[in-house]
Amino acid sequence: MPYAELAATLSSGLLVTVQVTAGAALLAVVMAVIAGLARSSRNPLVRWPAATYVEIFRGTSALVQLFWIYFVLPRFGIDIGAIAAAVAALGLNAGAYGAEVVRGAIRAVPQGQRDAAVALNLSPARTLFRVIWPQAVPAMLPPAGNLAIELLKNSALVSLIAVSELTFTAQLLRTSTLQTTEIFTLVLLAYFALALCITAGMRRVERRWKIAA
Amino acid sequence: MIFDWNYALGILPQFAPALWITLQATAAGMLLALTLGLVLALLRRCDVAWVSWLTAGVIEFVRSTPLLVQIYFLFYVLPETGMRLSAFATGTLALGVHYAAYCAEVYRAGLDAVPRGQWDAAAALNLGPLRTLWRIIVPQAVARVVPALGNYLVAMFKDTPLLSAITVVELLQTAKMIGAESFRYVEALTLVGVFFLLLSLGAAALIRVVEGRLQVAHA
Amino acid sequence: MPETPPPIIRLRGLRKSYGNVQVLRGVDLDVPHGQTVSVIGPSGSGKSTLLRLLMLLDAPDAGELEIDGESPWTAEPGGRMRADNARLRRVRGKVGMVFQHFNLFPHMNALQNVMEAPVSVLGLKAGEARERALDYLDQVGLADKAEAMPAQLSGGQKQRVAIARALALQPRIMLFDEVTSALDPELVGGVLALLRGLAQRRTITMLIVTHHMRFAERCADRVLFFENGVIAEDGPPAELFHDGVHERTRRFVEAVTGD
Repeated sequence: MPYAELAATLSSGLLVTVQVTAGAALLAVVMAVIAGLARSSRNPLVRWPAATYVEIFRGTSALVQLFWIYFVLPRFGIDIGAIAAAVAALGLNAGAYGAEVVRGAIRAVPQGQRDAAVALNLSPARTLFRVIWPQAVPAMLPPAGNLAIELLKNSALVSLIAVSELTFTAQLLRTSTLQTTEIFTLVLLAYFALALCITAGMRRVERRWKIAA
Repeated sequence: MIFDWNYALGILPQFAPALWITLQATAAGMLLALTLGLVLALLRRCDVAWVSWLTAGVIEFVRSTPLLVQIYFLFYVLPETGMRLSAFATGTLALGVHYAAYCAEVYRAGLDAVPRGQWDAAAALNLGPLRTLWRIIVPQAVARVVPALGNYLVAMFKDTPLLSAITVVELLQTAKMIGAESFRYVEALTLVGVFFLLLSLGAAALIRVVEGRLQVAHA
Repeated sequence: MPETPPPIIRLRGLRKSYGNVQVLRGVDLDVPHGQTVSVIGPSGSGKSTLLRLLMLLDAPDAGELEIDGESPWTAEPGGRMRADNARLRRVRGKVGMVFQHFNLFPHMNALQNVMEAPVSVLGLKAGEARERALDYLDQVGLADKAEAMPAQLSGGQKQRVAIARALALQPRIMLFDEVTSALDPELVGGVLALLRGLAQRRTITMLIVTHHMRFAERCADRVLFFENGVIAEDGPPAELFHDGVHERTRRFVEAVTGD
């Protein structure tokens, strides 16, 4: 099969990769913010569940998590299908790492800022959202960019539960055409290009926050 | 009851050889990553511009592409070039190469973190390049490098299930096989999760101890 | 007329840029052995760069640099300066340098800092090196701090260890790069007194970049006033500071001392 044809077939898989990654990234951001803030809380009842979530998803393998959600959860009556399982596993996994980023960035805001907010008699919520959060976000962005690339790389794992994304499509093509070297070279280049897009996108976001700060 | 404790206990021994394979892959992969990473880091610092840039490109490429695809690439493409490796050797090679790119960045950051004045002082005292590196720079970089390398060791350990994709019978593959045989995935997959959790948490605690020691030694 | 021995430092048309900034724009200088030279001038005028070139930490862009009759650099066809490694290290052996920020090795105690080079560069046995190191630590008044780690020492003590470390190689030339400017005011005196004592021995050629005008005036045989990357004025301190001819030095000194 000529390169153009291979590329055309692979591009349908590429689209699914982008969709799964984007969906998981969305979930990851939500989880990271919730768990990161919860872990920064002084209330242990808020802190502990978040800590458990973070430790479990950081402490086990992403692929094991994916298999658990796809194969084990249905036995508990939760059958969400391959695509949703893929998005859930990737998103929860990245969210756990992201929570640590959020927590670290919040902790890195100098104590003086909190003191000043207390001195101005701001409410805790207002302190968090108007004083701490805007200062913490710029510190979160560079590690968040790295996590986004890790997420993209992890999206290849969902080929193992038969989600027809890029790597899965490559495997199908390999068995039908046997043009192994060409296919996997194209696939690696495609992932690299996506990673470069993420890096470029994150740069723009970082610049915007820097100017605003 | 959905989770059968007796059944779980019963299949536990089947995981022993798989755990051994997993640990072997991690150890061999890390050894390769540490050495190859050092080579990459040195090439990255090379005075010849194109060597340095090319190395930077290779590091970036390996870091930005999925380990699973790299594993497939080696598994399917190496035999075409005449290199016949076992699935285990191929997987370990992929782990080593992938994490070498990360290790190279760790080494680089560690060396860059040593202040320029230390290089100046060593040069002013007329210490030779090897002596400078070995006696002055490396001891100061170690405290930064070791914890980071430790984290990648744990990360690599958690990536070993990917080897199941090329039929290496590590922990996850064992669980899949048990599941396929008995149609009971719950216990097997949960056990694998617990193994990883325990070993990762243990390793993380160990890294914190080492980190603390190193910081005390340099206080 | 007395026979003048060849200078231990000889510079002709020395130039150096970092990026687009021309730091040295043609420096000519002869320093006879044993002279103590103070180097003063506004910041960014090239004083520290001169010391870095003399220590052979950086290569000059152009010009001649000769230390004790030997020239470590040769211009390549492309114009870049290259050094033969063996010659570079031989010439470096004649020069010692003390840095503004001490640059002590933080993972070694004071004694180990001083011993490191005598062992590895001069090839002394550990026992000999130890004896020599203790001797130099004693000379800087820190024999009792031999086992202390740099983090446990005050700024002034760190700087004195750094001086002992440089002296332990017994260089013919010592370079001091603003060695008191990172110190708290009350610690400056001790370090300056140490330099004064060294200068009085006249066995070492000393180049001292400093902001202490009184020190420059009292302890140096000669003062170089740097401005815009060249030696703008050069002479004995009494002349430079007081004769009314050296207008630029006088104005600079007035500005920094507030007289």
